[in-house]
Amino acid sequence: MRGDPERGIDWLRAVRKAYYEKGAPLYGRGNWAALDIDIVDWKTGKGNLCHGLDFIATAVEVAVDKETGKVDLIKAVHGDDAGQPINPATLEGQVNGGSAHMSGHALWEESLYDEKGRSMNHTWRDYKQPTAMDVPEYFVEHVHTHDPYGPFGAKGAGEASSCSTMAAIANGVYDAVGVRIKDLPITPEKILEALKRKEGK
Amino acid sequence: MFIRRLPAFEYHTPATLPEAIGLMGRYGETARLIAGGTDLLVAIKRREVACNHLISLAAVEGLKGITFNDKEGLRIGSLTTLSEIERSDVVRQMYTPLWDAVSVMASAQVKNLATIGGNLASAVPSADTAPPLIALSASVCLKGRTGERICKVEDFFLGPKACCCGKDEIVTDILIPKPEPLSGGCYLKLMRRHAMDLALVGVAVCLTLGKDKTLCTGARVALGAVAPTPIRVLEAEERLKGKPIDESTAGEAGRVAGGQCRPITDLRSSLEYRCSMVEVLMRRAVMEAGKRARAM
Repeated sequence: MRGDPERGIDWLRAVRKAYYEKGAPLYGRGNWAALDIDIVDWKTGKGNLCHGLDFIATAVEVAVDKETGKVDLIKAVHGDDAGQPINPATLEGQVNGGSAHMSGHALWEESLYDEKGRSMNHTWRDYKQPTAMDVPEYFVEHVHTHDPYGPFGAKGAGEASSCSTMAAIANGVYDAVGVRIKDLPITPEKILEALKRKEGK
Repeated sequence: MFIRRLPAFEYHTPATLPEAIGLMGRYGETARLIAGGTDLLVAIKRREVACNHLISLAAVEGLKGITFNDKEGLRIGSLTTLSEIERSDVVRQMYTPLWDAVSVMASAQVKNLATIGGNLASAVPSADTAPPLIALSASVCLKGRTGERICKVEDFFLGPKACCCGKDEIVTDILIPKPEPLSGGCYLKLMRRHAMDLALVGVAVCLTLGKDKTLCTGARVALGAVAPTPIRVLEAEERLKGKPIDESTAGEAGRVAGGQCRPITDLRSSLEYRCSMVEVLMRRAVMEAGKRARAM
C-alpha cells in the first residue's frame, strides 16, 4: 500500500483472491500526463507535442507476376523501436497486426462510389481485406531503448509498422518490375498498365 | 441493398425425393429448394429472392455421397458438400480439375455447408465447379414429376442465375465419365486475393494425349466468370487437338480463348483485364494439364 509499505499482498495472491473468492476482476486506477511537452513554435515549426514516438524499419519481400499483375507478399521483417518491450509477444502481434492491416490498404482495400456518391462495395464480398493466406511470413526484431517519459521506458507501439509497410510494398513492386504506382491500392490492373506504358516507351 | 433479417417462412423437411417434388409442385413460385443455403439465405436477406416456403433437401435420402466405378465413372450426389469433395481421394487423383476448384473456393466454414448441386443450380456466372465439370464432360441428373432426365453441364446454364432445371425438378446427381487413359486436367482461378474471393476468371482444361505422350488427341476447355454463363470454348479445343502440347500451342489456344470470352466490366475488374487474363491463364492451364497428363 502506498505510504505504508508494511501492508501489502502478493500480486499472485491478490489475483487469485479476486478470481476465486470474490469472483470479480481486479481493478486498478491510475493516470499519467506528459507535463514537459513543448508547444510548437509557429514561426520555426519546432517543438515536441508528444512523447513516445516509435520508430521502425520494414523490409518486405514481394513477388510480382508480370503477366497477371498479382503481387505476392512473401516475407516481412520489422526492426521496431517501441522503447522497452513490456510484453514482447503482444508487441510482436501489434507490429504484425499493423503491418497486415496496411498491406490490405496497399494492395486491395478501396471504397468505390458511383456517380451519385453511393457506395458500390459496402460488403466484405467486394471490399477485400487480407486473409491469413495473403499476409507474408513476419519477423520482428525489437530494438530495446528506454523512453524516459513512458511507463517502464515503453513507447507507443504497433502503429509505426502500418506506416512503413505500405511504402515498403510500393518500393518492393518498383524493385521487382520497375514501375512506380503512386495511388493506392496497387492493383494488378494498375501494374499491368504501367508495365505496358514502360515497354511502349 | 443491405442485409436484413430473414423474413418469416415455412420450413419443410421432406424425407424422400417424390415428397420434395410434390411440395415444389404444391407451392410453386412461392417455394425454394434449400441445400447448404450459402447462396440462398444471403439472397433472401438481401431481399433478392422472395419466398414463403423453404423446402430443405437435407433429410432427403440418397442425395449425398461420392461413388466411383470403372464402367459408369463418378457419381456425386447433389447434396455432397464441397469439403466432402475436397477430402475425396478419387476426385483428387482422377478428377483433378474439380479438386482444384473446390480447394480454392470460399472458406472452410462455407465449404462445410455449400453443396455441389447448389453451386450449379444457383447458376452464377462465376460458379467455380462449373468450368471443371464442363471440361470433364460431366452431366447433371434431374428428377421431376415426369421422370428423370440427363443434361450436360455445358447445356445446363441459360443465363446469369438461370438454369434449365425446371420449377419442380431437383438436381439429384452429377455424373462424370471415367477419364481416358493418359489424360489430365487443371483448373486455374484468378482472384483478387488468395482466398475467399469470387473468380475474376476461371479456366478449366482437360487434355488427353496419344500413346507417345506428345500429341494431344482430345481437349476440352471451359471458362468461368467471363460470360453470362460458364462456357465451353470449342475453337480453343480445335487449336489443341492433334498438336504437341508446348508453349506455342498453349499460347495459341490462349489467344483464341481470349477472343471468345464475353466478360463485363464490374467493380471487381475491367473487361479488358479479364480478356487478357483468360489468355494468360489458358496458356498456363494447358501447360499444367499437359504435364499432369504425361505423368498419368
